[in-house]
Amino acid sequence: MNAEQSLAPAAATSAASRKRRWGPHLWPYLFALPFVLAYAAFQLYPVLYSFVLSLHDWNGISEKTYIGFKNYVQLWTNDPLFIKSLWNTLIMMVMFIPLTLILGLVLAYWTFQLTRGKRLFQTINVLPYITTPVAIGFIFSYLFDWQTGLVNLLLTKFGWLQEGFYWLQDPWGSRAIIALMVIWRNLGYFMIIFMAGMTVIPQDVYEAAKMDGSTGLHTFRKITMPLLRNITVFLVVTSVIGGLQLFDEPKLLYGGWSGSAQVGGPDNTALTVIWKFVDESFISNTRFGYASSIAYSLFVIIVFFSILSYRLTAPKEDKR
Amino acid sequence: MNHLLTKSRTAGALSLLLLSGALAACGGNGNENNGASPSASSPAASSAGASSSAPAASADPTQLSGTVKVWDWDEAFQKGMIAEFNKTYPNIKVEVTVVNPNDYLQKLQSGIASGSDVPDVILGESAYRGKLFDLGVLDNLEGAPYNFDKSSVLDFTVPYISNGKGEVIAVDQAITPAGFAYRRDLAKEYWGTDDPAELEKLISTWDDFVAKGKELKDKSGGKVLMMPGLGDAFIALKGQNFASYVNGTEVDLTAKVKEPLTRLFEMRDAGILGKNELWTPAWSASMAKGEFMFYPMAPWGPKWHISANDPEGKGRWGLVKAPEGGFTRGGTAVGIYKDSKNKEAAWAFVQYAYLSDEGSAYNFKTFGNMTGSKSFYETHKDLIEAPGPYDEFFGGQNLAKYFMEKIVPDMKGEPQSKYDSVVDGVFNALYPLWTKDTSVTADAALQKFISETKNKASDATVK
Repeated sequence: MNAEQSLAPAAATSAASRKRRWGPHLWPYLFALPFVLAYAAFQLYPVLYSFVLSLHDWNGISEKTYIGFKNYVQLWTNDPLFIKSLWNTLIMMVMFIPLTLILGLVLAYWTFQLTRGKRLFQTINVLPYITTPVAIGFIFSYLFDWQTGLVNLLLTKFGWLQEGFYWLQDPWGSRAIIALMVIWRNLGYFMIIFMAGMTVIPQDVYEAAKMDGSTGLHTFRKITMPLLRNITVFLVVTSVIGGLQLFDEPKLLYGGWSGSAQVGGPDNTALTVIWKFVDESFISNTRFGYASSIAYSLFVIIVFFSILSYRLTAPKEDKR
Repeated sequence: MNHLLTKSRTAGALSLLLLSGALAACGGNGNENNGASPSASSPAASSAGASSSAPAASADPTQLSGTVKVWDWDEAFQKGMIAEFNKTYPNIKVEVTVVNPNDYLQKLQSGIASGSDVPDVILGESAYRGKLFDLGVLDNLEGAPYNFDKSSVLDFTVPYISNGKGEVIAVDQAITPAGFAYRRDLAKEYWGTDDPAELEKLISTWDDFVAKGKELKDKSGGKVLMMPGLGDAFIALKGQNFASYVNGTEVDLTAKVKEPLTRLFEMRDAGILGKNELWTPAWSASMAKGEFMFYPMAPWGPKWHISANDPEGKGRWGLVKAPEGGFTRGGTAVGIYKDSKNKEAAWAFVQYAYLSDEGSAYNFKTFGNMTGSKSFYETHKDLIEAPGPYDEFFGGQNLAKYFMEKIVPDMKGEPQSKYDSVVDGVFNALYPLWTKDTSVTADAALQKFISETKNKASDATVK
């Protein structure tokens, strides 16, 4: 630094110094530039623009009208469907997140202990995760169809029900089926992640525990579970974020593949926030500004719940 | 029509909106304009070639050139029609992009908002037609260079191709007056006749319909009912109420659906309707199984609906008009983008494919589509008399003639509104609940219908 300061006034060396100033310094920026530009054009700008949009009334074609925060006021104070959609989403999250976590962990622990057929079992469990959501929508709407569904056929055949139950038109039935779809789809993924965590736990810890007389459930509770804590935090936070964005499953269950799609399920009990967003922008209405305010509100909600879920699950020393 | 929805993931839907904004800012007019248009007009001499009939796209067809972009879901139709069209207009190139009707409006909006790809010829399916008209992206066809004369099409179709201001902004892809398709075998077995004329008398009013339905249910031991579900019956009942129910942002839902709902609930309580939802697999399968007597059907129905779901059913179907009159089912309006660079060429195609006598004749013979143009039915009486492509499937009944003579005469039109799709959406969400919970009364249903519509159309006053 000293050298550079002393050299600076000398005219003869100015070219060299300029070269140095622009040369090596510039490369990192140059290399990062394509990403930064792409990020600015396709991420940052749209994110900012959609906020601007949320302050306007716009149908995508006519002139935009600036209306300040009216969209937000309308959304939070005068749109029962939005509140309901948020409520529905949270209810369904409560239904599927704990269950997927517990089942995923149990399944992972059990698979991890397997000596034969481990690979096969892993593969089978991950298959739903890589199945197209459209196919999952088909499968479940066939399974739970009122008149011809397999589930109702079995239930009536074994005499547990006199007449088929209308699963898809029952407020709790519809939510339960959606939760089931999410669990069925994500279980394999949770299992794989937990198993990855288990591989990292050193064997000597287990051996030491064994020496001290710990077995089975005790080892699982005192060793495996605590050491999987970080994995669990990751899974909880990501599934909270994913859960708040729930859309594919309900949409496809209610005929997303047919011409006369029903929005929101029975009495809107399966309407999720994103579904409401899509409905406002493309199905029932074409209110892009209003839909953007939904997107932004959801963003804030997601941030809030992410922090909350992190605080609740992360180990004490990390909670800062 | 039952189409696969191209799946859009959560993130996809979200980023689409965001992206459309981004692209809008990038501006640009991606509209490639293949020269063309300005020339074309050597007016006055409304020369030979083009037929006497419709307001032709003037001049010598070979003089017109350019590229016309069309978005359509029916590729087979366009392939056939473009080849025909090019026999008369060899220098106009028509490019078709296949777009699923479920995504159509969404794609169009994104295209316009981002200033990118927008077709010259835009289709508005009944599910979103009112919304499309309200966007104000279609050109007024009564003005230049189209000079479309609305008296040249069947009177009842005019409301279906007009916007709120009364301007004609589209033409009909095909007319869609509807009656009931019925199972001849079942009619013969339970009512002793499968003759349409006899059936008309048996179900000339809705009261008769309900009475006959009860009789059918008793005779068949509950195995055969009148219609597959509440959705089917409501299409006919609501469709017969041609009253305009939207005035600006005032939506008088009571005027539109109170009576239809009352009748619908009467039918439900009489047990003459099945428990199927429209377009579900069980509903489709019911056609071949013979569980239900009637299905509401427009001229597109024999191809897309009946023969598609009952491929073995040749000869066992018939067509009869609905009690107390006709109604429309489905229907697609075809308009021209207001900022199209090729308006004349686009109009030449639209005019040829959907209005001209030659195009209409080809359309009718090949696909069974019936044009809205009056002149076709005068110059091509022979075609209407001759067997149509699906007549044999319907036991030799002349379907086109039946539609034209028995159903069209007492048809009226329903003015289009952007709230139509909201109302239909709300009904689709509610009728399964009414099917399931039979304790809901017609009055309670109406109140629910109104409150749900309010929730969805927050800018409207709904009563």
